[in-house]
Amino acid sequence: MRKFLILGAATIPLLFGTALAQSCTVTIGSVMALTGSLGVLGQQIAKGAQLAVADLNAAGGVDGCTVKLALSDDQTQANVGVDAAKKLVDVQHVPAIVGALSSGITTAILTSVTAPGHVILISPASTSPTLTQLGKDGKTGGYFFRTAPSDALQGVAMADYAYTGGLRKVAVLYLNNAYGQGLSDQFVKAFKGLGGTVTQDVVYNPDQPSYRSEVNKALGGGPQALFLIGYPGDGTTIAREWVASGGPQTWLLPDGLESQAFVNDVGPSYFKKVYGTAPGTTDTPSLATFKKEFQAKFGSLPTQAYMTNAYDATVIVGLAMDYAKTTTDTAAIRDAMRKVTDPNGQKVYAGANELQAAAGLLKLGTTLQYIGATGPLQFDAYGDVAGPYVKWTVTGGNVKETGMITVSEIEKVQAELAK
Amino acid sequence: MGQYIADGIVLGATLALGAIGLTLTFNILRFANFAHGELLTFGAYFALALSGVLAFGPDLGSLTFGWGFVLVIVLAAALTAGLAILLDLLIYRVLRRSDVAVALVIASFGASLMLRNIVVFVWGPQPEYYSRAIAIARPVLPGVRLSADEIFVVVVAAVLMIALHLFLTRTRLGKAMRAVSDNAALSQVTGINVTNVVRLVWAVGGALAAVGGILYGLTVQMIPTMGFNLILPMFAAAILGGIGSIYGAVLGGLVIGLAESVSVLWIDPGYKPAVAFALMFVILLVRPHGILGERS
Repeated sequence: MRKFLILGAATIPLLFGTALAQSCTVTIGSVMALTGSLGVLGQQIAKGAQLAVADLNAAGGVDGCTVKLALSDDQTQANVGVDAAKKLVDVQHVPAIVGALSSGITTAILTSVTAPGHVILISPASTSPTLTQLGKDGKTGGYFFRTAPSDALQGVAMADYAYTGGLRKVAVLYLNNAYGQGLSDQFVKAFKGLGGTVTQDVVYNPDQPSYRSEVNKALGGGPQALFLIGYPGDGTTIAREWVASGGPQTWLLPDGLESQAFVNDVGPSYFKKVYGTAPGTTDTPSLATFKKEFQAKFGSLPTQAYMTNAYDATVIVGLAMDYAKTTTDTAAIRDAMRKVTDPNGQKVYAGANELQAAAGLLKLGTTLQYIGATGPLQFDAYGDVAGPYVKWTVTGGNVKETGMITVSEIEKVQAELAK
Repeated sequence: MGQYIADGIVLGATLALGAIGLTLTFNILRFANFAHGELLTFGAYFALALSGVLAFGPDLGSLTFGWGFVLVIVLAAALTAGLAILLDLLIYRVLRRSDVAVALVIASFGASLMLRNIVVFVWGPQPEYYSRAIAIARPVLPGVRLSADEIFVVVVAAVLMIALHLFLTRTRLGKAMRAVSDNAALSQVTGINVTNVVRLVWAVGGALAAVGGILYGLTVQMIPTMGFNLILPMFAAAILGGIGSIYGAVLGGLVIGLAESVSVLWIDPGYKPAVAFALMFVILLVRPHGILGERS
């Protein structure tokens, strides 16, 4: 009998707790490319955000509310993405949107929906320097953040990696959007600065029926390798046409093409030598927790860039709402984003258990430094983060990460180029 | 230069096959069928499904497929022809009775959206290929490299166009089709069964679109939006050549393919999609009925 009483007593707060958490829901919006050119990457990245929401709920929700993720597909098209974001903001009244992936779509959503609507936009994967520029021009209202570093860094990292790898003549084929232009500009500047030659710098449009003429143009001048900047959908077509036209099978591939599906679709045997870069993760306990939880939830290990970034972006939004003790006042949440990633704050890590501890600290109004699965994320004035890059390659048909390029290494090359 | 021309012809051949069906439906049924691109998509995916069932046989020479694939093309074309007739029965025939001409065009937008999403639902959004092997281009002329698959594409397109020409000029059915296209009321008076001819138009247009889609899938890739991405260049080809003119559609397809490909020599490829439309604009200014269009 006594036992039952104790059990009963133990159950009451539990029931009460659940009832409280479910008494309201807060919806975090998300716009990602689940289909279209970036679809194969986007479907994986979305899982990062889904895991984050599951963890936030396991840790008791946000500001007493259950968190829901309203995930919309932008079909890798800016107009579809803007419509999806409009719906999230105008109909579902979300305080924050995690997305988009493509820089072109993020720019469109930022300038036409979230900045004017004072809604937080945090992108896990948009790397174009354009987005920093928009911040500098005062067009974001401070409502834009990203958990992926700007390509101002990746262009330099790739140029350094290729040049030290012995390449001197490289052709560039880049996607005609903010991502492609930004990365290609940075790379061309850095590679020439190091002493290399860019034989051709050719732009291409998405969703074209054929890329043969672009590929032919890029072949001119006898490059040793192709730097292909794009997304897996069109990227596959271009890579296959490059191989079919007899282009050298040495590749420089950025984050947008770090995908096993891309390699499989083109054909693993055509990747003789690959110099790949992608935003990396600093090794922290968070990364191990993320991998473990990810495998438990989805049955496989995370394999590509930006999955951790999506997780961290979603978690930071959740923590910020908890800190601001509001799920509607977007200005307060915006300011709180920096309070939960403060380098002087109390360190908390990723994972359901850690987030529960964080929720306890936030109740007391403590400033936190969330150390995410990506690493410690500290937003600068324009919502940018700095981060290391991983080098990846294709060996035996598999995408494999082989090493790191640290922030200080990139800064060293940048200093050299500035001379 | 030679390489750009060769690439333009390969793309143009695919566009021409699609544009023929478009121009036929426009001329005989008097509406712009925006769902026509999806017939290319379905043709390509039908062939994908069939090629999994029917054994390919060993690859022929340096082609990336065997004899079985020819059978696959024929069957997929037949299935797509059936799909086109079904669409007409379920949607267009009902709407043709209404007086609002634009209803058909809007309905075709809806049909396009529906068909595209069926493809996503059944086959998924990821790109698909008939063969993972890449047909490596070999020099065929000085400065021109083509793969065996690309030569196959041009040959098949040429054979089909000649066959279509013979069908339209030498057979009763073909002549009936041209008669209905010229004047439906008058041809009905002379005893032509217009309903049957309409069905035939759908079948021929669908089958040619299917082959166009398969050839495109063979040399590029298959994705659910492939037909949708091709519909504007196909419209440009049909309008450029002269709406209603089959030879015009073929010519238009080649002109668009060549213009897009060769223009890269002089202008930034970022503006490539605009070239086809700029050209269409100029030609329509000079010849409002298209290159081979007849004055109505």
